[in-house]
Amino acid sequence: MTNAIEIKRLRKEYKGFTLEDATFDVPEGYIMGLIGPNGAGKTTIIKLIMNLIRRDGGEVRLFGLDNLRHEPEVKARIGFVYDVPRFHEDVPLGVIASAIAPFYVKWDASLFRRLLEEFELGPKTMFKKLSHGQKMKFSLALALAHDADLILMDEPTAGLDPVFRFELLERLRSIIQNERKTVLFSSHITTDLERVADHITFIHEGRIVFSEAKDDILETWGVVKAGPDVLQPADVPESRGVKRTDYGIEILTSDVAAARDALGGRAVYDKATLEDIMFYMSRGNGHA
Amino acid sequence: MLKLVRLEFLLSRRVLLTTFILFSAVFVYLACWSDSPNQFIGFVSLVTGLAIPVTFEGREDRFRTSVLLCSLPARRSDIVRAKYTMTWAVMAGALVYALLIAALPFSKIPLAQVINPKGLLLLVFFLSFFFAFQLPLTTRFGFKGIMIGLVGLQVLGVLGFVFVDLFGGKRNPLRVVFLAVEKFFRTIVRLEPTAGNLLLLGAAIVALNAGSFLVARALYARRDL
Amino acid sequence: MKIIISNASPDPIYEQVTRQIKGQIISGDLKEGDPLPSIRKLAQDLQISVITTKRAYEELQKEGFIDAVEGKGSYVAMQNKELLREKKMKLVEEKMSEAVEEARLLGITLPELREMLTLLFKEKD
Repeated sequence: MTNAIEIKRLRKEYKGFTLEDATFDVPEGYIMGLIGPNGAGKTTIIKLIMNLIRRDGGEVRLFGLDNLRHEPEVKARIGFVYDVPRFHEDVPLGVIASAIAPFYVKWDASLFRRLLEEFELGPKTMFKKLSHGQKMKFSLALALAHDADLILMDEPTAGLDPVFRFELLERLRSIIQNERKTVLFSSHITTDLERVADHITFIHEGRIVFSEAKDDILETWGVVKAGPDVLQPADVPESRGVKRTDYGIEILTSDVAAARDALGGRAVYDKATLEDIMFYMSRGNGHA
Repeated sequence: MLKLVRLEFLLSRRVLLTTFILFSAVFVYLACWSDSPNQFIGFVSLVTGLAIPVTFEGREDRFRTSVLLCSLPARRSDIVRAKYTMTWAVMAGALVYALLIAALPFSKIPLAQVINPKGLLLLVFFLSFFFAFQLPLTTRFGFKGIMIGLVGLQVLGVLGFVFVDLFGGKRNPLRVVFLAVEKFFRTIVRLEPTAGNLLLLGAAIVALNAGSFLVARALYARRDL
Repeated sequence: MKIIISNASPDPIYEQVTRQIKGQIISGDLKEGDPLPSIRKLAQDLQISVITTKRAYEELQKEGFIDAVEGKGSYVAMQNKELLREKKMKLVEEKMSEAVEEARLLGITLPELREMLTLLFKEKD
């Protein structure tokens, strides 16, 4: 399996937050979602991939090449869409595109024009006149027009209306109809990732918790529910988080089959959504 | 790198136009008002060396487009080189433009006293001086950098005067600094236009620009966006 | 080819896909040599993960229901008549075993079950 991105022991220190020992691979030809609560380190990882911030340790390989030593080479194959696209405000879209085009060997001007038409954007419109959704579309058009092998997006769906969100996600799916194309996007909107991601990497407080196939995660994780005082987290194999209410206890487990074997009819077993995972894990196994 | 320079120009077209118009007004005013070659040199170099870099680099800060630049297939060092090239091209254009305006009939500037080897080198020297001063700040800290720099200078200046007042006398250390700075500039302006001196001035210009470029490149490479 | 995916079903998605394709091959809706959509196209149409469709096709291939032709895609495999009949029997057997299990739990006797079966069979004629 070829990997579009290989991240090994990546490290970045900030005051009050450290990304520690991040290691995972993004296989070519699939959509990977980077998920985690706000401030967990998703944007940090994406910025480190693009070398927008300097890393304090570790290694990033893109298409098998070191991202620092081959910076222009790898960036020529990446379409980057930031959460808030920023371009010079008083410049028309067509001029921005023409300024960027020469940097990409595979730039397809007619494809770009078609995309602009499809997105209902005029090349003579000035960037500042665009709504947030239109800015995203423009940014996406630029990324697609040079046939990027890797589409990298940071919180692409935040702030978009539901219709465009759906269209955007389906478009990501159609990008990987070509098995040499890869998509990595970060989001805290778990339902979007559930819809469209093939793999999920979960990051929490600067550490990678897991990096797996989405369907596997949703099949093996589960929430064990029982009345109060019936269960303790310690009774549940692979317990990862707990919530107590007046009516009962809910325990997240990463192996619901083992839990079922161990506890049988003593508890109820629910599917865990990505949102559940994020929620329960941030509460931890402690007394909540 | 040329692609980057072209990009910088394309994305700043509008500002180039407004700068051109603004400078026209400023230079015309200067030409009508002053008849001193030194004033001309000082004023043009100050205005050009500060306003142009701040205007163009300030855009990147205002619109926060550094992410765009640094996402392009280019190294940071190339990006800095392109910025330098573009800014210098515009500044050189402004200098030539100022001289052209000074050559017009209504101008009071004695052009002959400016357009000679020493005059031109002085122009470029002071331009480089002001440019070198602001560029690393602007590159590293953006628009804020310039404001900090200018405000910082003013604060220093005020402090200086306060100390001079308080502690008076010829032995006051700040006074020594001020006198030194004044002497420095005066020496340069009053240089004998010998070949040796002119070469020295030329070397100083190159050193200034090379030095500030290296500092700017190092700062930009380390900058976290 | 008709496939319906239910998120509410307790069965893993890949199993739903495998089962439905298997069923159509066995019933003859999908004939030998019929082409199947590529795993990516199927994933896009059903709005599920490519990994899932890949897994489903791999399993179908392992069980001999489909063949993968290098560079061309997947096709319904030649079904051995004997094996096909066997597979059909197995499907029905599975369903009957479910019914027997249920009957036992509810206390329905074998004669009662047999009668139900005969009635149902005659009904469908």
